[in-house]
Amino acid sequence: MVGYVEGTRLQLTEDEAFQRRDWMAQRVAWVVFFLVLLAALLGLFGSGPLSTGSRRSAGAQIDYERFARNGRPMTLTITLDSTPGDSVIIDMSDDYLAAAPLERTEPEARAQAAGEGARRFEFPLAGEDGGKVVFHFDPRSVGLAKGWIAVNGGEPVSFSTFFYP
Amino acid sequence: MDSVLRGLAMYVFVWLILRLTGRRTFAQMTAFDFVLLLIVGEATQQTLLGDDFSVTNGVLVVLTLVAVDVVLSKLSTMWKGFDRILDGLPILIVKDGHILKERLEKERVTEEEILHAAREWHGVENLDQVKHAVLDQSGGISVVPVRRDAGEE
Repeated sequence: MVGYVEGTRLQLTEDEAFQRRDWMAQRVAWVVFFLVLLAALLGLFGSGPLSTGSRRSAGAQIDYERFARNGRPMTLTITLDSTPGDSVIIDMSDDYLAAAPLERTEPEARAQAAGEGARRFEFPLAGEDGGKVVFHFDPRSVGLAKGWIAVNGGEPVSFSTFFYP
Repeated sequence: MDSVLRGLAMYVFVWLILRLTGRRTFAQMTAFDFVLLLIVGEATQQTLLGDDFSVTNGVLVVLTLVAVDVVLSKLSTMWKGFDRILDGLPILIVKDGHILKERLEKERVTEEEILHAAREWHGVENLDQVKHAVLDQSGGISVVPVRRDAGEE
């Protein structure tokens, strides 16, 4: 039975308590929405100032994504401080490659081999001061993925990326 | 499995966002509202299909969305409380000729929008001729005009 609005002949379903809770829920939701948008602008959902991380290993700097998204292209860049030879060996962990399959690399690898829990790449270097290798990934997983990289057989450096669905 | 999960996730998130941003978001089709409707549709389309453009995926996604809709409407007929959570309650915004200003502000409704509904459905000229007005669950405004034959309440 639908009640009447007090002092009128208008039949209407009213519930003051419910309405007040509803309006409160909307206000809370708005705060949450704006916080989410702010987090996104800062890069917490990928692609922003806070989403790129850096590590150093054996004379190279590794720039990777801390936050990424499933199905969205992602890159990892290795910048060498100097180029002592004409090529560089990079080992990348299999687990990470399983989570984010490699689409291509810049430059193309001269050779690839399977190692212990990792894939070994040999890249030719241009020969100027410092070389750069870029890995282009096509992420196919959700959740935290841990990986490691070793440059020219040096100490492996670990890092991790959280993939949003 | 992917198709069903995507459909489910997008349905829930889009519903949640629209439900919590107030009902005026899609009710009246001004150019502004139309653009929003169009863009939200476009934004969800790619996500629903992913990179799978097979007939199987398309059918599964549509099936998921319709199934969710059926389940929710069945639940809301069975349980009154659920219907309220899903769609909210109608809100009285004009009572006996008095505009309930606080409610207008909370729901972001303007006097002009009330006048529009009154003109459209009842050929009413001004607010004095509006007896009651309700902001419906759909986001539209329904108006009870003052009876033209005098002597009515």
